[in-house]
Amino acid sequence: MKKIILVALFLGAIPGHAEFHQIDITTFGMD
Amino acid sequence: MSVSIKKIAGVESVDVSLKQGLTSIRLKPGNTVGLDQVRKAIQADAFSPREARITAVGELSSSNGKTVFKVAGTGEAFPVEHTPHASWEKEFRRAVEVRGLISAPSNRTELGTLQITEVSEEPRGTK
Repeated sequence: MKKIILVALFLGAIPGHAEFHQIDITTFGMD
Repeated sequence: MSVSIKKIAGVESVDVSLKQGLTSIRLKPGNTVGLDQVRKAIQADAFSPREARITAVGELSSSNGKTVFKVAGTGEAFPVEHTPHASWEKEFRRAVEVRGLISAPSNRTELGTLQITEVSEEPRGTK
């Protein structure tokens, strides 16, 4: 299991992989 | 509202300030969360998403003469607002970390336009 997790983390660091790290989104409540 | 967003796979934490009207979402490394997905979760809770300040890793490229930022893990591609004082061409076709502001979409078929504030090399390793 740990090996699988390590491989997944490594794959995430390969150049070309893309993802959002942080999203700060403005929101308004609907009336 | 945070409950719906927290249900999205890949979301690490959600901080909601109703007073400020701001939802801050931190995402796990290796996530495939899309901005459209987040917006729909917010709408499902009867809130209206507006502009989003983002930090994301992806690729800048040119499409039909216009700069586009593609978040490959999600398939989302955001047109980049032209800035006369900055050119992103030297960053094309390599993984970069982009910080910027994505406008609220004007219609349901759009994702919004990205106004880039900072481009840096993709951070190595995980935090």
